[in-house]
Amino acid sequence: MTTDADTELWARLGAVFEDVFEQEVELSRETTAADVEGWDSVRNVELLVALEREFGVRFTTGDIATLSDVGGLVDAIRARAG
Amino acid sequence: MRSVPPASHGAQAVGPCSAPRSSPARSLSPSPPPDGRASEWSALLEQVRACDDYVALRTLARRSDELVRAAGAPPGSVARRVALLVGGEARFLEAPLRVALRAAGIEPQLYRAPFGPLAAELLDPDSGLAAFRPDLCVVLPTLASIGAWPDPGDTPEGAAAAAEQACRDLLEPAAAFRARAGCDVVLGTIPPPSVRPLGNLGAKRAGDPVRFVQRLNLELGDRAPEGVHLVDVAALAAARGTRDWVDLKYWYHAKQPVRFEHVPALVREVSAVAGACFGRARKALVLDLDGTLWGGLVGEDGPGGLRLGEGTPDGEAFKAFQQYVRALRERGVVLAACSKNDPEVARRAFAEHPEMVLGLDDFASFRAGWENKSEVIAAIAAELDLGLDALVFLDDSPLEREEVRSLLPQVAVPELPPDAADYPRALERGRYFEAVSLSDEDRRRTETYRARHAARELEASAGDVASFLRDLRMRGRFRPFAPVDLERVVQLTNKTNQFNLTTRRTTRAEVEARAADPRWFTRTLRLADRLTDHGLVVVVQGLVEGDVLTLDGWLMSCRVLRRGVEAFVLNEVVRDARSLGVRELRATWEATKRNGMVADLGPRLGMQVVAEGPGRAEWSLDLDTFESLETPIEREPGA
Repeated sequence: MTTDADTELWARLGAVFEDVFEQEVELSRETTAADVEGWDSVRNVELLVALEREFGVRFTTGDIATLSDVGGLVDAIRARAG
Repeated sequence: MRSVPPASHGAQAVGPCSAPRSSPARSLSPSPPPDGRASEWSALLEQVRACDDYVALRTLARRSDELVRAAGAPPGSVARRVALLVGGEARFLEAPLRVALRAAGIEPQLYRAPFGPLAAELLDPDSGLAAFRPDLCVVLPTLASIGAWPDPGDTPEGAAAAAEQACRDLLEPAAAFRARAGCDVVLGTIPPPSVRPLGNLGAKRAGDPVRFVQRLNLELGDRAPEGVHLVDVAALAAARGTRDWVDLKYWYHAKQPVRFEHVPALVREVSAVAGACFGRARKALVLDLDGTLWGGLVGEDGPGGLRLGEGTPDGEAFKAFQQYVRALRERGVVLAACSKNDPEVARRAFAEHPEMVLGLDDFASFRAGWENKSEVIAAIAAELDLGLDALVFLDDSPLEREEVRSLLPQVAVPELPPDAADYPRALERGRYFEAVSLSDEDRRRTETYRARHAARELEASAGDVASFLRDLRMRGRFRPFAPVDLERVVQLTNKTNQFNLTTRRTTRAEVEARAADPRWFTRTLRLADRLTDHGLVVVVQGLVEGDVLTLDGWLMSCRVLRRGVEAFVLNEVVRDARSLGVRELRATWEATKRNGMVADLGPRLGMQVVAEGPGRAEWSLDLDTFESLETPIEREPGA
C-alpha cells in the first residue's frame, strides 16, 4: 500500500544510491550497510550529503547517530522535509 | 638599452642536447603521434586537473585506477611512496589524492595512517608509517591536532608562547621523522575555527582562537626547517570560505576533515607541492603576444595602437598581467615568446611601446613567424634543453590552444578567459610553477639561458671548436659538497635526465647524510666562463672502499654539454681520489629512456669496459696509469 509520494521518494532514493555506489542497489526499509558492497563510513557520508542535496534537507547530528537502516533514512528525510 | 634577442625564425637554433643539427625541425616535430594509451592517459589526467566536483573526481579516480591495472602507470610518471597523515579520517582524502598525484606526474603508492595523534605516528619508530618508508610524508593537521589553546583573556605574551608551543608540537615530530626516515615532509597549515566567541573584539585579543590559529600558521612558516614544506591549506580555506570548510556534523560523525566540495582543490594543492618536491614542476612559460600580453594586433595597429597601460581599462589589465609574468621570471620561470607575426614588427612593440613591462631580454627564446605553433614550441623546448612536459603555453586564441593540445599533449595549455583581468588567476590555477625552494640558480636562469645562446652563436662563428672553447676562458671549481650547495645538488639529482649515469634521485636528507659521511666521495663542479657564471652544474657521488672508488652517480646539467667538462671532471675525480689512496675507479651506466648520450662515456674518457649488457655498462679506470686528459677548463682551487 504505497502512495505516489512514496513511489517517487523511493525512486529518487534509488537514483542517489546508484550515483554514490556506482551500481544499482536493491533497496527496502530493512536494507543496512552490511547488505551493500562498499558501504563504509566514507561512502556513508557521501550518501548522506548526496541525499541532503537531492531532497533539500539537513540531517541533524542526532539523526545520523541513530540511523541503522534505509527505513531510518527514509523517516529522517520525511521528518526533515517537514 | 635592451640587448638584441637571438635572431630566430621558426625552428632554428637547436639545443646541444637534442637531435642532430641537420634536420632540426623534422626531428622535433610532434610526430610520432601519441599512442592510444598515452592519449587516453593524457585526456583522463587533463580532466582530473580541471575537475572541481567531488563526485566527478571520485569517478575519475576509479577509472584511473582501472587504467593503471590494465595498462600500467601514466607514461612519464615517477613511482613514489607517499604517506598521508590527517588530523581526521584520512580515508576521505585517499582516493582523490591518489588521482591528483597521478595528474601531477607521480604514480603513488599510498600509505594512509590510521586516525590518531599525528605526533605518535611520526615519532614511533615502530609505527606503520615508519615501516612503510615513504619518499614523501604529507601531514594535514586540523583544529583537533592543536593540543593546548590559549585562554581568551591571555596576555599577548601568553598567547604568543602558546602559539610557539603549538608550532613546535607540529614541527618537531615532522622534523624528527624527516631526520630518521630521510624523507621530506609536506605539512598543511590549519584553517581557523568558524566561530568566534569574542566576536569582532577577537581581532584585538591575543587569546582569540582565530588569531591564535593565524599566529600558529605564521610560526609554522617562520620555523619550518629544511625539508619540511608547507601547503597553505588555511589560505585555500580562506579563498573558498573558512566558515564552510568543515561540516561539523560529519566531523562529529566520521571525523571528515573537510567538506567534499573542497576536496578536489585541496588534493590539487597538496599534489602541486608534492610534485615540486620531486622536481615535477614546470619550468618555462611560452607566451603568445597579440591578445595575450597586450590588446590589439601589433602588425595592424602598430606599437602605438596597442592597448597596454594606463588609459584604457583593459590596457591596465594587460599591464598588470605583464607585471605578474615578470614576477614569475624573477622567481626563475623561463619565458619564451611564440607569436604569429613578422619578427621585426613583434620586436618593435617591445622597443617602442612606452608602457611595455616585459623587455626582449626577459625572453630566453623569442620567436615570431608564421609556422604552426606546435612546431615552434617543439623548437623552443629543444633550444632551451627542456622537455615538452616542462612547458606551459598561454594563448588567447582557442584555435592555437587546441592545436598545441592535440599535437603536443605534454605541454600544459590552460584555458584563458576572455578578460585579461582574469589572466593571472587563470594561469595560477594550474599551480604549474610550485617550488619548494628558490636557489640563486633559479633566479639567474633566464640570464644563463641567454648566455648559452650567445655562446652557441660564438661557436657558430668561431670556426673550430677547440679555439672556441679556449676563447670562452672557462674556470671550474671542484670540491666536496658544501652546505650552500645541497639545495642545488638535490635539485639536479631529481631533474637531470640526459647526462646522468645512474639517474638515482636523492632527497635532501640523503645528500646531507652523504656529505657528512667520510666513506662517501661527494663532489660538485661550479663552472664560469667569460660570458656567464653557470653555477653548480656537475654532481659526482661515490663510495670509497679500500683502494676502490665506486661511483654511485655522475650527472651534469645539460646547459654545459660539449665543452670538455667531462674530461675536466674525470681529471679532478682522479686527483682527489688519489689523495685518498684510491687506485681504481669504477663507474656504471644504467639505461633510462633519456640517458643514451652517456652510454659510452667511460670508453670515451679512456676507461676499460668491464661488463656490457643491454641497458647497462660497467667501466673501470686504473689510477696508477691514468694520465690527465686535455681540457680547455682552468682549475680554480676548491674552497
